[in-house]
Amino acid sequence: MMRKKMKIGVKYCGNCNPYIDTRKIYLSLYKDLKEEVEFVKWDNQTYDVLLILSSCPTDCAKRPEFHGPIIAISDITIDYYSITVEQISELLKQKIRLLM
Amino acid sequence: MKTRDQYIESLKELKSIIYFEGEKIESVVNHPLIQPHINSAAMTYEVANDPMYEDLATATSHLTGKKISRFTHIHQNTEDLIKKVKLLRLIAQKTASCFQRCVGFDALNAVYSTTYDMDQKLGTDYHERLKKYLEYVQENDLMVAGAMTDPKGDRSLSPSKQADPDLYVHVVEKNDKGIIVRGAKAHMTGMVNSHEMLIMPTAAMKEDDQAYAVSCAIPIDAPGVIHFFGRQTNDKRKFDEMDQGNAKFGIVGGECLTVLEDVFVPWDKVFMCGEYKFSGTLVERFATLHRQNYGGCKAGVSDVVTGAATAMAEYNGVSRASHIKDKIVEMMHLTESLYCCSIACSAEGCKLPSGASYPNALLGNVVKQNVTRNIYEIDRICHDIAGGFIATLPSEKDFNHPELGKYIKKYFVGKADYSVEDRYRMARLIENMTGGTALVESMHGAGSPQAQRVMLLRMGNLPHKVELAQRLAGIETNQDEKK
Repeated sequence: MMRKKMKIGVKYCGNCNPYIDTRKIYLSLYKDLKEEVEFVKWDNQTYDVLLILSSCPTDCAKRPEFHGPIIAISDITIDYYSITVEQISELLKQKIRLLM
Repeated sequence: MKTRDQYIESLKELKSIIYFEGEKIESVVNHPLIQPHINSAAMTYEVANDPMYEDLATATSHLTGKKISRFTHIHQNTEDLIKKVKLLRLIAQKTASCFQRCVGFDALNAVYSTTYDMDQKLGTDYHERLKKYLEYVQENDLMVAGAMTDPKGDRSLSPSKQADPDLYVHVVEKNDKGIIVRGAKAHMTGMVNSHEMLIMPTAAMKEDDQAYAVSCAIPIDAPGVIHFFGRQTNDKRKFDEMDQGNAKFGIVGGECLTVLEDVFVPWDKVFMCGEYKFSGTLVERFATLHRQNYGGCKAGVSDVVTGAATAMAEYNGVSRASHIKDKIVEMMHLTESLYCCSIACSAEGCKLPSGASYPNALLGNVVKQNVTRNIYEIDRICHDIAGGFIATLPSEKDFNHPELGKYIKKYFVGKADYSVEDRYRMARLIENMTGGTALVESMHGAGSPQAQRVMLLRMGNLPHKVELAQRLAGIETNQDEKK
């Protein structure tokens, strides 16, 4: 029997004055994980993991009510730990795969 | 928390070695050169004990749950960051001078968050040591001087490549009890009337500079510490009264050169020792936290300058002229613009892994960059309104002379409704606040303008702005797709 794909709800901050390109990060993630994961909008379906993509350190994206695991990118941090811009996509993939 | 008087009394117990013009200053308390700076710092204690100001001036310790001075607090949320700015504006309105305590406040916050990150990455125990030290500072309501700027020697060379290795503070010995440090820290605001200093590296270090990656706390009267109190514009006027302009609170922060001649620091007061990869983080965090302040304190000082210009226009009989009103509006506009920036970088602050809150670094650098311009413009307008006599007035001794004083009073008279002495005093206040040392502090305090511009270039995401323009110009922005 095929394993059910994990669903990730994606929410952006609004991108008013971005330090990083969160759309590019998402597209890279989608390209690499689309066979393993289903990406959905945060507000129209249920999902297993919430991914917050904030493009500056203020991280103003309002969090929806969600009781599962959350992964937050804000500027060059992942879950508030500093990383480099080059590491973002790779570490994000690693984090998601750990939750599968 | 200490009261104003308890703070001043506590300074009498220190055995600091302080020199001015080759002579040792036996006690900072009541010394004409230093007392105004003590009065300014004492205002931070006074407001914390005043019910009218306590909402800004106090906080609840996240370590002990006790009520503490905000100047010893670790910011827990953006509200704390905003209250810091408001507090600085409030106190500056009362002192019209630097009250010094923000430097140690920012140092504590910067070292707090950086030690946490170091411990997470390296398995060290610096953060626990810092928390114990912080508790000690909070419990005793100590004034801590933030000590970052090294003399730096040849700016093109790194610390370890300098001809004299002491041009940056460094560790010269480690033993089982602690470390011994040598070097000096320059432009030390409020140092001689603080209790402790919190040493931090002055720049991002490389592997060769490991010995220079040091952060530690040292009492200002520890053996081996020597302070050289700095000169200020017109400092000999501190032996006068009216001619000082602001006799009670002085000018800026009473800066000094602090020499560390093989000073021992026990391990429990050492918060970085060789972890050079974290020195850049510490410097950047301190710089952002300190640059955040300037639209608070400088707005408060500029409130006083604006008030002084308005009063002087009235004393001169020109207050109803439309160009004067317009200039005063411009002073207020420039002042509130500074304040807006500080509030904005605070409101846009974020949480660091340690749980401490931190201002938006891009906007924090904008605050300070604007201060290097707006304060000069505010002061220029003030000079324009006040008139040239603020720079050419005869002395207080002539003014008060039993026989000669009548000439000064006769020829410096303004509008009949006001006394000559009021006009004289206001002129001296403007002279004090808008020139010399006070003005240069706006340029270089919390880092010179170029330091902020480097940060703006680094954080401003220029490629994104280019892409915005290309898109609107109908230029394909995704070159890969085009190919």
